[in-house]
Amino acid sequence: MTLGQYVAGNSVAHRLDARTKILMALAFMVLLLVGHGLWALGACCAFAVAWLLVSRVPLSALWRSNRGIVGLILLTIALDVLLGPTAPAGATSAGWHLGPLLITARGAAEGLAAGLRLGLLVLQSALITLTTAPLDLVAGAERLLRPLRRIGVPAHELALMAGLALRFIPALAEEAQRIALAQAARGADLQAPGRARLRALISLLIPLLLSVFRRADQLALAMEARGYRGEEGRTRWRQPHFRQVDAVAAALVVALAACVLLTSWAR
Amino acid sequence: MGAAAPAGPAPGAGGVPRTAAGPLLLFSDVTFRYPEAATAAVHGIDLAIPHGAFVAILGGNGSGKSTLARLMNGLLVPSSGRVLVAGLDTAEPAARLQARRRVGLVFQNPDNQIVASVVEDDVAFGPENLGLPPAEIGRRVREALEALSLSAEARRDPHHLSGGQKQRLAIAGALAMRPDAVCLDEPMSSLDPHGRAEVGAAIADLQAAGHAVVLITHHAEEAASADRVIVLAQGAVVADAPPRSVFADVRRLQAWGVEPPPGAAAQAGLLARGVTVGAPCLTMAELAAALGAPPRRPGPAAAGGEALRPGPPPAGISLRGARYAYPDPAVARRLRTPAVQDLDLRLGPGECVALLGATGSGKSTAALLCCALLQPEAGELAIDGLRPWAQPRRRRGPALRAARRLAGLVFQRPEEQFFEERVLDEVAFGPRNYGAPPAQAAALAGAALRRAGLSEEFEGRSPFALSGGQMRRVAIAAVLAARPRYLLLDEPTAGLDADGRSAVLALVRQLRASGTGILLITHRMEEAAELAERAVLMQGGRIVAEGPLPAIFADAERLTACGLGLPPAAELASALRRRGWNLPPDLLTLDPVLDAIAAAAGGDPPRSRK
Repeated sequence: MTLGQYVAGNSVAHRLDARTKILMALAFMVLLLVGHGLWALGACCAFAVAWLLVSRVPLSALWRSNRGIVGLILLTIALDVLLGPTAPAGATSAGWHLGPLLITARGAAEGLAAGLRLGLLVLQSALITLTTAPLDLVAGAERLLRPLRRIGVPAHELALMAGLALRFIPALAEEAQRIALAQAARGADLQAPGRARLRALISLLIPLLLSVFRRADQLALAMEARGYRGEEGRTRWRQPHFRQVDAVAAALVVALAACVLLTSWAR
Repeated sequence: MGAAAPAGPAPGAGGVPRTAAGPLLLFSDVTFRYPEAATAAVHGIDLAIPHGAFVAILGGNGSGKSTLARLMNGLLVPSSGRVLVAGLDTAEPAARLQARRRVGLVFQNPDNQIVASVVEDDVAFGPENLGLPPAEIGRRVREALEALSLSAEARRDPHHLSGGQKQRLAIAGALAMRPDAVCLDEPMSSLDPHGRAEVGAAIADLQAAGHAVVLITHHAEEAASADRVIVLAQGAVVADAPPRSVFADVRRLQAWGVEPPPGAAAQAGLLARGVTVGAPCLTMAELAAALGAPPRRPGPAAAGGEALRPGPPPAGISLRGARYAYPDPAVARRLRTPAVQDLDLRLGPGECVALLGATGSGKSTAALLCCALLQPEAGELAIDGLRPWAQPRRRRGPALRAARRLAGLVFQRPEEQFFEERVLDEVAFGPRNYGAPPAQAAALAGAALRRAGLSEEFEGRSPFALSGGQMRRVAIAAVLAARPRYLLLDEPTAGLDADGRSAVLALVRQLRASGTGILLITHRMEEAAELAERAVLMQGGRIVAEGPLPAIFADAERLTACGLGLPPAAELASALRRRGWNLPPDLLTLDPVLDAIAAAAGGDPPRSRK
């Protein structure tokens, strides 16, 4: 079992610093929500498509990791189109009647725009997880949160927790399956009615919990044996560096922001 | 260096030069008691381990070995006495980081000591904790990966490595801190033979590179190449001498809960038969060399080959043409590599069949298919005529339960599935699931515990507070309580010390005698040789050979190709045959081999020792 959707590669999008990608994603999200009008949406769209092309992510991987959400996007469009704003009173160009529902050109446009926004949001977050190893994302987030240590945000501990969770989830998932099979060999039946089912559930959860504690215990000991004492006195091997590509990406985001903000507020 | 050594020459013998700076590790009168424990885990320990030494620490479960390891780098601090690491007292908080840098610790389960999701990042963890500059960390990571031959895996996810690779990664993590000593706490006991060999070679390399190595184990065989062996029993040092002198006394080793090396055990058996061999031997190869050429007296003519047993009767477990691939969402169903295919397995009533093969050969999957826990994609399963997967889906439930009840499977390390507070409830879980009312379930559980050799006294105890061997027997009883006609055992002795192992083997022997059909999955060929009458050899998800044990073990080349070896007794017999001894064929277990050697050597006439 593998966790996350990371597809190894060496494209520009892969080489960007994780911090750049996180900040880009945040900026993109804000611009997508703040901007309105065709031009703003078009600019965002162009930006996302460019990002997709640059990242060279196989479309099949993109589809596999996001097919679940396509239904949600279509539903959003449908709801907006069907239940969206009706034509202003007295307007003559009423649109199409569909039973009790009325579809207007404006409603349809707004529905499509909402769907497009949601789709772009999904696309850009997928592009980040597809081109960034989970651990790099965690390390990037830790770096970005570091200034907040002064106000008590435990950035290092949060990052360590996330990293260990990433490391152990596949092993625990396998273990859960093994325990389920072992208890089934002893007659436990998760489909059984009533108390038998409860007993079967307990027979699965308690060994799993015990295993988590056992692992945590051993891992803590092993970390201590390797000289871990928390963040104090610790250095990092991987020093992320902002490079030229990061600067270029930042410039492009600034350009996008200018585009979106000007077209949205110039009117 | 005042070691409490009642036996053997002075510690440090074995040609290890002492440095002028004094020993690397010095224990003086160390006692450690865990909080709330009634007795001390270790007491009165006096030890000195010089730079560059290779010391093995042996002892059964609960002898205090692991506690000793944790005292070596300040993870634990003595309750009384002192531990000095390169002259620094581990009781001083300021000295502890130094102690951890100098003594790297590697634990039994590699899975639970790997921190990062990328191999090279994990190796960097220790140097990062030491606060080294990034360039230096990178240098050490490369160096450590190279030393453990893991450079090619640097960017991989440790989750996808083999057991041996994972344990080598753990050693690389310790090595990257540039320690003076590496202490390994049962590093091989959760590995298969291939992984053991990998880690054994890595340990030899560590030693050759000048590191002191402290190897903690309950397998005497692994300790054979050490300069010095320290045996712990009940928290105290009971022997501290070179391996040959410690291992010579097989009885004493067994009393300490340590499994003697096969060569020494066979040598002791020969002595009991009146055949004396000069120098103490550790391996079967050494013993064969020591026995040398056969005496002039010609031995008895080889007995004829054993007649083939008749095929098993039609009742039993029968798996035909089975194929199974584990689900993997990333791969389309048809493209998945099957874990097993074209699998034809039969287990007759009262028969004992050994299922042999390297890790990943599909043995465990075969067992899961045999007791209807996995549904084969192709092929058919019948248990005493019952075909659970042939039932229409709606009526399948009861058939599956009946099948699983007939064929009980004891998983690897089954004690990890315990969840009740009392042994009796744990064992009664099965019968209750099969619909027995509480009183009857308790009676069935009690009977199963008796069969497993556990008295009523155990019933009210917590299953988590037992010894390893007792836990394993409770787990087997938990499957027996449903009164299965067939018992499938997946590595039933893995990770047990000598005492636990012999108790579990005795139970299996007794079950076989009482007519339970047994499918035994094992890495230890001697267990297969002793218990099974037929063996099935698997490789790459397919059965490559099947037949009576002598026939399977006759083809040494095929065994090697499958990543397996001969049982030690057969190894000794074949080594002697090569030296010209005339021994009867098909000798697989120790006693007949020793009897034959004694007969050929003109010692006491062959006799059974029981």
